[in-house]
Amino acid sequence: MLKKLLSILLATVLCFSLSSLIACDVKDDSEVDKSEVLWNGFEYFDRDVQLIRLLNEFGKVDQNSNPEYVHSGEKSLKITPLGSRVNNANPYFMIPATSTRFEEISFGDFTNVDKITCWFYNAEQTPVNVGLGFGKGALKMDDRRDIIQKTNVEYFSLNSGWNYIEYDVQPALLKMQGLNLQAVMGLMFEFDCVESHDLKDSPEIYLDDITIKYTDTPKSQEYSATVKTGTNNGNPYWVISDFENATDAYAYMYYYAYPAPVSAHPIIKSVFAGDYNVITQNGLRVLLVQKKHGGTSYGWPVIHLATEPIKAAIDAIGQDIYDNPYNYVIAYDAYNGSNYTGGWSHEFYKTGISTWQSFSTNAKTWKSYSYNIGSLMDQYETYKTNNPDTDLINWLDNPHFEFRYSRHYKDTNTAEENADRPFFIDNVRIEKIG
Amino acid sequence: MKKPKLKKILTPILAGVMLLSACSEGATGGVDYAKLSDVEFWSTYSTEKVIQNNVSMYNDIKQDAEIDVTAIRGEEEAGQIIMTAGNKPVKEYDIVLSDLSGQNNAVFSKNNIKVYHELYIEVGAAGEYYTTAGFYPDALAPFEGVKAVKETGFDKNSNQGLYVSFDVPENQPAGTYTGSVGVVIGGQTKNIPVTLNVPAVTIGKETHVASSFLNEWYFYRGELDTTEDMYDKYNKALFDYRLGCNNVTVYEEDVNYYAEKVCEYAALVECPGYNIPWFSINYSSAPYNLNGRDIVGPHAYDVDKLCLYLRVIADKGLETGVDPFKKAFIYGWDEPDLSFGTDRAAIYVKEWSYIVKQCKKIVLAELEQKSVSAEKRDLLDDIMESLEDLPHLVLSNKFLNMEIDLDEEEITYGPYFSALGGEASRDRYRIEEGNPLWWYGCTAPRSPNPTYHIDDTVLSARIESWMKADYNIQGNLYWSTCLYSEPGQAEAITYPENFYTGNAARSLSVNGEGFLFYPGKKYGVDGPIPSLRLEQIRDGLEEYEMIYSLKQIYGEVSSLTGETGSEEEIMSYIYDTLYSGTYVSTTHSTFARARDTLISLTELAQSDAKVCILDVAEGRDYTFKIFVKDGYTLKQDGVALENGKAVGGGKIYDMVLKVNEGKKLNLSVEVGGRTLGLYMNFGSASTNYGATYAVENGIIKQRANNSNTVATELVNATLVNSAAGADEKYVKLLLGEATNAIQDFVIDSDIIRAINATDDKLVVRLFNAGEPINVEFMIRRGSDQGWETKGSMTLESGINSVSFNGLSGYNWNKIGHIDGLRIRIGAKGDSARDYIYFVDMTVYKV
Repeated sequence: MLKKLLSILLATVLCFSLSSLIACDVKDDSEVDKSEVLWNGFEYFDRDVQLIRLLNEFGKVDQNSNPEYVHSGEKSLKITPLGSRVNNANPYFMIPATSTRFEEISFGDFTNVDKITCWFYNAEQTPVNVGLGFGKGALKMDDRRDIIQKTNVEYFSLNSGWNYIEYDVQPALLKMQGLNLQAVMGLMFEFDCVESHDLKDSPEIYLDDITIKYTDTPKSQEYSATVKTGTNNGNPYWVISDFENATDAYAYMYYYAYPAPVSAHPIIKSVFAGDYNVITQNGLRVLLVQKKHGGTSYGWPVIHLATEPIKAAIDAIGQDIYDNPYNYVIAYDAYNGSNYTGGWSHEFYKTGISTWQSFSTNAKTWKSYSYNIGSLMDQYETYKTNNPDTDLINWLDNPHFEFRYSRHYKDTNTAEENADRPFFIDNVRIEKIG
Repeated sequence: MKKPKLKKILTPILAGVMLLSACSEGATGGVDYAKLSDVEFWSTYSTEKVIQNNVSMYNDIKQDAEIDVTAIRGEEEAGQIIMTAGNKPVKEYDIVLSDLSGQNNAVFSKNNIKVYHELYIEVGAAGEYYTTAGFYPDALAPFEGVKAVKETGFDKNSNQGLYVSFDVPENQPAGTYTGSVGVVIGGQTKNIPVTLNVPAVTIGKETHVASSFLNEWYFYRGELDTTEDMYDKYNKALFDYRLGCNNVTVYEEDVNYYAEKVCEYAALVECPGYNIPWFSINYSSAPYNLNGRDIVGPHAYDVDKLCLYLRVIADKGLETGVDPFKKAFIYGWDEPDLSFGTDRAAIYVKEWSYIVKQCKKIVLAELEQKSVSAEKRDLLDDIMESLEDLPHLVLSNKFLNMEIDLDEEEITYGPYFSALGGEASRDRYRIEEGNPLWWYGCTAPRSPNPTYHIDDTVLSARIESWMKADYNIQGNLYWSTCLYSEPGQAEAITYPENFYTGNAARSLSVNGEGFLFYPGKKYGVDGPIPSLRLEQIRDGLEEYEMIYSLKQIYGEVSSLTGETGSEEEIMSYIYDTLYSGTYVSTTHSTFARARDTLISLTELAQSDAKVCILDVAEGRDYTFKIFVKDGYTLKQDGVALENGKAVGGGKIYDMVLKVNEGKKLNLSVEVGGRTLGLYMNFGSASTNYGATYAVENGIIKQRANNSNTVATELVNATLVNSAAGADEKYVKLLLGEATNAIQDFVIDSDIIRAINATDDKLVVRLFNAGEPINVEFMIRRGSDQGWETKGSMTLESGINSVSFNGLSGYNWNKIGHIDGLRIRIGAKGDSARDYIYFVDMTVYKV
């Protein structure tokens, strides 16, 4: 919005300056469509292109001036993604939302943003996948390879030719991920790993006219969802996330626990189970956690469930869970989609609270896991007794939960260690057992 | 499909700006841009840095606007033109190049002339050679690229530098070429005269000193290209600058791919070196028995992987017909003393050194058993010999306390530049004679040691290579060429937004640290563009090649004649005008003279006459032992030398030069219709101050434990030195026990305070009646009373000369004047000494 206002101001000033020489045809303020602002049309190298940040051994981006691949203006962005061949990690790049050098780059305030739209040209004969999401702070910027977390990634399939993409911005979900809505870092574009170090193996894609569409009525920043309910063997449950819709899909965020591999980011996204030949127990979608094959780095991805959907489930249950916490468990179903036995763990991490549990999972098998909330509450109480000065908040009032896909390191060169390891999570819930 | 609606806001602005711009020179009375006559053109040395935003401080270095460059065949050498805008900005300028003309219709093609538009980077606080904050020239953007992005304009009251570089082909006929470079401003052209002198001196593409400059950092940020292909372009750009790279791939971990790349680089004559990688492993819980010794370190090199790499690379070399190890090195764990502390580092380094040596032995044994065809036999022998010599670099500024057995362990030390100023220190780090020695610099050491810092003189980056030749240093490592980042909080390095003109102190508050390249993408270059510093590093390496050539020819002549002699004798007099120890002390003009002298020496040696100055004996007069081949007449001051001794197809002349009579070395010889010459000034007037003067004027203050006493004991020199004259006196220095402070003495005199840029050197002679002892010598700056070390040496038994060389090259703007000399002896804790004597002190004029 700021850019638009500045643009209008500048145009008006110029118009007045030149009024004796030319007829000015700039629209007045009331005529300009304030609902959309061009974020990046890739017209100016210094401002629009040079500041792009490549991550995960991206490949290459370049300013394109071939009109065939320009949506409007004279330039667009040519994208040739590769990714890490060694670690088989997806490549992504970020277009920053703000700049200390170019004042006109000031798109970090997403308070009133409705959508982001852009145009892709897929120069390939086959579809190409792209994910759009947001940058969420640097983990370690002084590493030789930059790491910026990405979040709220939504995936699209680009057909040959021009594709119009609309990315629906949901402030509540961004906020849930810990993003400061008034200082968003930038927009992320993720592609599939090509598993080559040679650009001739890369798909050729063009991007133009990234536009922000604002709304006069800001979307709510507060999490609100109708908590689904159901029964399991006669036990009622309240769904935290079954990954069936966008809200559920963003109900998690992930990061790497130390030691962080620099580029071995796994694929973590809500997917149609059928695409992976996985039969769900209910619904169509599941959360895929896939460490792809290869990679010499070790470390493990942590999938952290946001507080809001857990709290919503607790609130939906009501006072009974406070009065009878031993009657409730937090539970979920997990499916090892690989051909190998794999490690899995979860914990309710908090300083001083040790709830870490690890499991071995059998290949191609669903299994349910649970943790008794009463036991969890006991641990909190014990900790608070031993640490009277602690400011630890009761878990039910500030719930949190993490999954860790622990078997993610490579210590041999066996086929097992090198294999793709898809893992699926579904039906994260609070279930009444008593 | 077009949807102009999306960019509709920008369109009227752009149109307005263009229209405004179009009207600016017309009747609208817009910006009043400079005409050609409003711009001052001048030239200066290519080694000088002219700050963009300071137009008033250069009157004393301005030279006529012309380019007069001497460049030998096979090197690149530049001149520098500065355009100074007055009260009007320059909207844009253009360059017109044309071929240069030589004698006999010889032509120097304009295609071999590179014009760079200097870009300026902000130095907020300058504290090395230069002390003025401002925008310093550093990135060199190809003019055509700058023109393409319409950035040739520059502001009023500012300087804009043009770096004009001549890339002389190896087959360019020697001679003088003239022409001009046209600079067009406002439709008018300023023709800047160009004279290019090409002596009959040639260096090849090969560089005979190793280096490793790391491209691994942030090249992709600037180029928006993370590929191995772009990394390869950065590596090959280093080769263009006669520098070696580190790893040959940046991300790829496939040993076969790595080996292929190694062999590709090995086949490039211009590639000076590359790394063979090692991989860390923890053997502490499962020791690895390697040739009888258990490897137990938690941070060891992976034995199997190192053997694998050596084996696969050797095989690939055999397959492709190159020796992959000849130019290779193993860059070991960087600065282990900082990672582990000196005690543990010593343990680890010893183990790593053992692993490297034993892995080499394992693979050598395998190669020994290899059955190869007859035509591959020599290659296999070469590969095995190179593998045996493959150095394992340990860069550590701390000398580690460990016993090394070079038969079983492989180590090549690389301390800071500053650690190798003295012969004794070099011997220590070398471990034993013949073992290689590298060195390095980063944030430290600081000027006057060699640095690549932007607020240091580029002469320092250039002279580092002269020092390598002088001190027999085999390699140099620099940790990062492309730190495309901006200063962050604490030590954090943040993503850059300004790759060319932002804050120069990107790393640890040191200007220019971590980058010598700039991204080329913006300026139409597929790869990096250079910096002024990188150009000068290459210039230094080109001069190294001249010295290397001298070394070869002098060696051949020595063998031919049976005379012992080397280029070191005559070169030492040139080195003395450039630095002392590792302290650079020279001026742009002094350096230019040194370079001219080196070129003359090389031209004489490379000529058919093979004139070589094999020895220089210094007494009251100078005596030179000069070889010239039969059939050529060598002249001094135009007079043919006589009574030469016939040896090895030529004659050796013993020529005496009476310096005190104002004589200069002024040799000439006719070769192939051209007159080659050498002019060297071995000193003008000198003033000697003896022991009696020193005592009568109380100029020596001897010290130990913070107590100063004036030296007053005058002794007959013959009491301690049987070779002394009968009436000669020495001053006995009484140096008390060094309990709290190192023994030293200070020379505090108006004679010292009167020294200035018109002086050449000051020599203090000391007599040591005891065992050899290390000394360090310093000056006290008048400007801030701080002490500045100028060198160190071993005081041998007998007469020693402590020489403060290159006085004219001191940074007098920074020093002010010299307020005193200080000579520190031995170390803290030493017992009292009374066996060191002051002999005399002599000040030589330029």
